[in-house]
Amino acid sequence: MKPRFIGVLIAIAAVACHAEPAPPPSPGTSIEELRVAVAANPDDASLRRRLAIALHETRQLDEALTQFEMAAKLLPDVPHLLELAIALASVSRLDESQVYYEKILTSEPRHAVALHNLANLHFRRGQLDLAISRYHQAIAARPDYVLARFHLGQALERSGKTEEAYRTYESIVAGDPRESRDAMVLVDALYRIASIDLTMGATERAVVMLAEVVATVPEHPQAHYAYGQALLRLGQTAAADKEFETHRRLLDQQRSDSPAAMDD
Amino acid sequence: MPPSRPRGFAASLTFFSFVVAHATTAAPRLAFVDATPGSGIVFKNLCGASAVSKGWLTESMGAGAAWLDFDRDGHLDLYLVNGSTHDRPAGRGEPNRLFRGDGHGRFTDVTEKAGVGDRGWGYGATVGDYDNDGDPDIYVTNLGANVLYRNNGDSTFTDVTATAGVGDSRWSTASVFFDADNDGDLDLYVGNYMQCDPKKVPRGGTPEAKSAYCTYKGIPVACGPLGQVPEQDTYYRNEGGGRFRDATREAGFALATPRYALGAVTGDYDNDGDTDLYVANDSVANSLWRNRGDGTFEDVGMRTLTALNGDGRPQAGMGTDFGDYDRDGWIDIVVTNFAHDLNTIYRNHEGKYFLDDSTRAGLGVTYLFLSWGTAFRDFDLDGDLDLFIANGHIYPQVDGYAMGTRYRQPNHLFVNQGAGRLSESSKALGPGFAIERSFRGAAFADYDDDGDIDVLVTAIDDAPLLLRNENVGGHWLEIRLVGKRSNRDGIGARITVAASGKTWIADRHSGGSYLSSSDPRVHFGLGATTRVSSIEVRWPSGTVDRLIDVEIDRLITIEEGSTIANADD
Repeated sequence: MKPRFIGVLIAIAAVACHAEPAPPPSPGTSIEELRVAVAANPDDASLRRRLAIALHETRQLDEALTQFEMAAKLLPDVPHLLELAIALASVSRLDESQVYYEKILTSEPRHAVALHNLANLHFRRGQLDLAISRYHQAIAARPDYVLARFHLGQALERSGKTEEAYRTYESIVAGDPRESRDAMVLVDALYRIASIDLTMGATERAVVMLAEVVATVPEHPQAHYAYGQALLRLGQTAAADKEFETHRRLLDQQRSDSPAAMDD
Repeated sequence: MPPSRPRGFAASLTFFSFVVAHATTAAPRLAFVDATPGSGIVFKNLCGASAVSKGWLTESMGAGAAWLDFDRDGHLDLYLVNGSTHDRPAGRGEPNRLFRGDGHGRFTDVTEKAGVGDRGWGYGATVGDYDNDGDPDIYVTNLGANVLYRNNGDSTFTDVTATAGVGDSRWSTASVFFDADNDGDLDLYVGNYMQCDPKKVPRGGTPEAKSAYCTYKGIPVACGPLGQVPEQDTYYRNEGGGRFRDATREAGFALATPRYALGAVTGDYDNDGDTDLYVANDSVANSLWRNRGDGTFEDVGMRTLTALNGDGRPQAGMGTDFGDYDRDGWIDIVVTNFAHDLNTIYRNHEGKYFLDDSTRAGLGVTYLFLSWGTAFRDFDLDGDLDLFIANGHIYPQVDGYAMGTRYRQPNHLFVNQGAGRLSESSKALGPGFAIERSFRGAAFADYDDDGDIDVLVTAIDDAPLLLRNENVGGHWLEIRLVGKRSNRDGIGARITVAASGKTWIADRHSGGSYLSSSDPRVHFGLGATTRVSSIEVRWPSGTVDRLIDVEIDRLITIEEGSTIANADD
């Protein structure tokens, strides 16, 4: 299991990207059974989509991609194109993924998810200005799109536009999240604000923020680590050690991800 | 449950008065040229059967280089480590090469005569006078038995591995000579990576390589290091008489779960007078080994916040170095890491803990680069430490995907702008920095004795790149140490230079960078300073030497005890 913080973001991203997810295979429907069903009904885009998702979840990425491609060929509507674009990005075929996002945007120029995911592609390539521009478009298309705001903040941070990033995270915090997934992004935005505070030497402000984050999400390892750093700076060594201990315990409970294997 | 609004929120909205203006970026005065053509350095690295298909990590890690004055003629010589393939029998790899330098940029291959052409699958080399006889010896790390070459003092070497007892037969990477127990001779720390028997580890890209650790962003690649068995590092205590003993456990270096070591460097991070050791590990926590002063060590990486990055995550540590880049009198740490991650600068807070200063320092631009060899040095001689980083991706496959990163990459040089800020300046540093290869190791030296620091960068399956520094302006000082009571190399000595109301510190360290060993002389850039008011050397033995009113722009040699300072000064 990935660290919860990253896991939450990935889960949110997955939800956001799969705007209209196919219904999961009914309980007991194995990949093999889906393969048999697809073989019997090769022109059924919905079946292929279900098989593709099942394959993707079990990391059989190449075969999943083939099924996404077939489904999109059979029914080239926006949901199928979106899933195909996401699948292509998951195997780093970013150019092809971009083609499908742009195809979606040709028919629906304000498709917020496509704009956001396209921004993510640019981010991965280090094309930060392009990414920032697309994130802004996604937010303009859907002002309550908090994940796009969060990723915009990250792109701005990476660009060295720390002040703008800070304000972007603040705009998330200033919102009123109605869904639990948005609430988790809010927590992460708080964490980023506190991290910037910490980096810039605004330690006491960071302490206040991080206390809130760890109180809200006690299993947020990074927040405990940052909280420990902030306390250490203030000379509160014992309290800092307690936070580091919590961080270690949480890390030990979770599999450590290889940076090489890490998702964006 | 949605989170409650934080109490500190209102305050944060009015934040940002603290953001300081960036320091003005002065135009660098330095430039680097590719001095390899015509230098006599004819060499090509071999690391695996194919340069474009890497089935195992063994084929991806490249090799290092070492600068040393093996014949004691006053000019630096170059040792280049070479590799092999899994198809070749053990000991039938491409030979390592020793090039004798003339001090003017010309090198002659003297490998055969010197007898240092080991043909194991080589990765790293470190240099130290382990027998205190006044000449540098060489230790080579291999996939398979490592090799210790003792310098005979007549420009030849003898393989003394068996007698010395240092032939660690695992996959060794970084190594450092240092006087861990402070008994006056050099001990040896050998970093080990992982078990990688191609008969047991599936080849990347094959159906057998199904693990999540055999893919990179959905691309099938060589497996590991996570998912593979890490190897315990080895600490050899120098017993005298040319013999070492494995003292890993009794010195405290044994770990319950070994890590994947790739980089190692020595330094005195807590200013307590003994030599500590930092080890960069791949994909897991790094280790900061604090010397307890009694020949034993404890890993204080977690406690000092140098094991993980500022977000509390392990990174893929490759190369590392110590250096006081913010000139506060405490040495800081740099660690190079994987692509789509940042290289990390740990800023030392009075030896108690370190904070991740990477973004603030300006390392954000390294995000797409996969980095290896590194060092803090004052390349532009303006009086503060700059930062060199060698780059190159580990997976040739990335070239088939438009993902913003490439297998062959340019190197980076970050010029120190003061106030702890570094500015990536390589585009303005001449043609040497425009060259793209899949670089790995980097060894730093003033090989042409003109007072500035040059760089030898190794590249996997390719020729090395000798970057000659064409810096104009700025003063300097180089110091060669000769230990008497302390180890002969003076490794572990702390040098403090004072001039014009400023002070600089540097340790005579061992290791650093990636798989490489650098100029044994300690280099100081002095900027506009025209005269050094004092130089103090605190030797590992506790002896303190002090020189007063020293002329600049020269190499000086300081023998231990030759200028004994009054302890009450």
